[in-house]
Formats: sequence, C-alpha cells, structure tokens
Amino acid sequence: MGKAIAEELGVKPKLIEAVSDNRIPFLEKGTADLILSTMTINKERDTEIDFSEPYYIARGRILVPKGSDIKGLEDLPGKSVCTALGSTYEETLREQAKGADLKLVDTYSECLELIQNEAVDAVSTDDVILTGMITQDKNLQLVGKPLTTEPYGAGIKEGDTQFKAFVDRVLRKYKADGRWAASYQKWVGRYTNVKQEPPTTSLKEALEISG
Amino acid sequence: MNELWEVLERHLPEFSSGFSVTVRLVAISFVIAMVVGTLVAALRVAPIKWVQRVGGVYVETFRNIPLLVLLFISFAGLRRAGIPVNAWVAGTASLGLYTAAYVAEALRSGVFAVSKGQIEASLSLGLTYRQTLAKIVLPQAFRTVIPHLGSLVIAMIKNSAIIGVSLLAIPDLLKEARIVDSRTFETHEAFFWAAVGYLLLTGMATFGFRYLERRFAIRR
Repeated sequence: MGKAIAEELGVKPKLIEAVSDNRIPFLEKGTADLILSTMTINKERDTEIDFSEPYYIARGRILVPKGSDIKGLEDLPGKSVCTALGSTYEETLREQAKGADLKLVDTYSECLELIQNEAVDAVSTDDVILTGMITQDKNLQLVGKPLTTEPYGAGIKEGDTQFKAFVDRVLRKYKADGRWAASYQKWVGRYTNVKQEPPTTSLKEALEISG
Repeated sequence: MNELWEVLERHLPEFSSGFSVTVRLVAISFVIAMVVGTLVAALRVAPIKWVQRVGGVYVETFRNIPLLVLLFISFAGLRRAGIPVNAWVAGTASLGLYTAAYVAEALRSGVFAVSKGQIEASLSLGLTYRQTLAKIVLPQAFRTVIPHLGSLVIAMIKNSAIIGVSLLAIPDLLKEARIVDSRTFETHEAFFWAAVGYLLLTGMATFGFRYLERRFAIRR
C-alpha cells in the first residue's frame, strides 16, 4: 500500500522500520512522511497527528500456547501478558484484564520469544500480528472472543490536509480496484482462512469505535 | 516549568515505583559485584598460575560480552535450555557478574599498589598466604581503589537501565518513564524526571564514596 501511494506521488518510497513507541515522533520530527504501521486510529493519537480513512479493521485477540488454561479475557488476571510499549493494548489490558501482570516490550518479536520460552503466559494484540506469530510457531493459538476493534489508519503530519486528501484518494482507489483484496489474501487471508472486504468505516466512525 | 511539575504529580506512582525497582536492582547487583569481584581478584593475584588463569578467564569473558547480550543469554538462553530463571535473577546476576569483572580488575590494581616488601615481611613473620591477603593486602587494596570503585558503581547504576529496555521487561525507572511517555506523549517531561531519578542515585553514590574515601584515607 505504501508503494501504491509512493507510485501515485511519482517518488521512490524509502521504508524505515518503526516500533509502536517511536512512530509518532518519527512523523513529528520529519524522519518519515507517512506511517503505515498497524496503527489504530484513536482520539489520543488524533490530537498529535492526522489519520487517513481506515484501511483495515483488526480485532484484538489473545494468543496462548496450546494446552494453556487461559480460555479468554476472564482468565488473564494473575497471569503475565506481553504486549508492546506504546500500543493501545497497554490501556485495553489495564482496563479489561485488571490484575494481569503486563510485560511491556519494544517489539512483538520479543513477545514471541517470551511466550515461546514460557516467560509470559499470553500475548495480546491485533489478530494480524498474532496470526503472523502462529505462522512461525504452530504450537500457539488464539483463544477467547475479540477484545477490541482496531481500525488502522495511515499517519500523516498534523495539519497537512492536502497530503491527507491525496492519501485518502489513493486508498479509495486501492480498495476499489482489487489491489486491497489481493494484498489481504497474500498477507492475512491465506493464513487465517477468513474472507474480508475492504473496510467502509469512515474516519469519524473509527474514532468513535476506538475512543 | 509548570508542565514539568504537572507530569511528575500526575505520574508520581509510576515514577516512584520505577525508582524503587531501579534501587533494588542496583542494590542486589552491587552486592553480587563486590562479593564475586573480590573472589575473582583473589584468584587473579594467587601465587598459583592456573588459579590466576581461572580468574583471567572470568574477567575476559564478562568484560568482553556486551551487557545486553549477557542479559539475553542469561534469560532467554537459559530458559530455552529448560532452566526457568526469572527476570530478576537474570537481570541482577548479569549486571552483578558483569560489574564484578571490573571490580576484580580494580582490586587487582589495588593489590599491586601494596608494596612487595609488606607481603614479604608478613609471610616471613609466619602469616599464611590467606592471612596476608585478608589482613594486610586486601584492606589496603580496598582503600586505594575506593575512588575507582565509586566510578564503577556509578557506571553500574546507569547500566541498570539496560535491564529495563531488554527482553526482561522489568519495570525500572527508565521503563516507567517510557510508559508515561507512550501514554501521554510528554516526552521531554517524562525523560527529564527519569534523568533526575538517576542523578539522585548517582549523586548519592558519589557522596557515599567520597565519605568512604575520607574515612579510610591512608595517612602516609
């Protein structure tokens, strides 16, 4: 998708890796012009940066090793749960799983390492990230009902309405002409066997959903 | 300026819990570093070649592995090998054993500062090697290296922040500051207070070691 936007702009994209905690500063300091980093649209972030229209709707889930006695959110208190520092799950878990011992790390690959060597009992974050972990380790599985709905948006520097209008236009085209579906199938669908349509949720609705 | 105080006031629970975690990490690691460092220094100055070499291997191993790697090996590595160490054990042992290598080298230099004549005199008076070391050499060595140990402790306090950013995810002062930052985006304020916390600790260490230096000064 980043490539599609760059192509439309007529520039060669330079991809920079960011983690949950530093992507907003990257945008503010001009290190990056656009964030495409599984970033949930929420009001708190919306005061710092601008968002494009939602391009994907992820669901918050819980990942545990097979055979774990954790069956859902209600089993988390008293257990250790890994998620990324600066992600929305920090707050979600603090509110919905009171009494769970949160392990906050910088990257989700650290969560994978921790759950594999049994240093934590569960990992909680977006389904797309967790299914990525399952593709690496078949001994892991998702349990319980989705905890949250996480509409992803592209991050744009606060106040740059012209660039936002441009990105939204490219995204609309991307969703309409089948490129969205192809990309979804390639990265998510073939692992989860779940069919999904491009999201039609508006930015305003997204801000309502995630708060 | 007001902003600074506001952030501290609102997030005092996070900052104080982080501060106390850092204090505990540093205190436990300090004890490990001093005890192990002294033992290794004793090996390093032993009159037997192979014993010296054992001490040398220890120093070279722990001094040459970056602390972050040491933390990873002692936690993820051991757990993968089926040894269920917890994060606190891995964290304090890594920082303690790492610093111990430097403590051992500092003490060794202190031992060499004790004149050979004293050791010969002590041995010829009938004291055993162990007595000579414990009663004559090490007390003087400790005194000479107090300033050096002070800098090592300050370095250790600062190195403790690596435990928080590593895979161990122990919520120390720096980690708590980053949690505050990620929730509020008050980056400058959050890190300012973390810096103040570390400064408080290193400041106390500096004063403590200055006091020791004066208290145990060798009057020549």
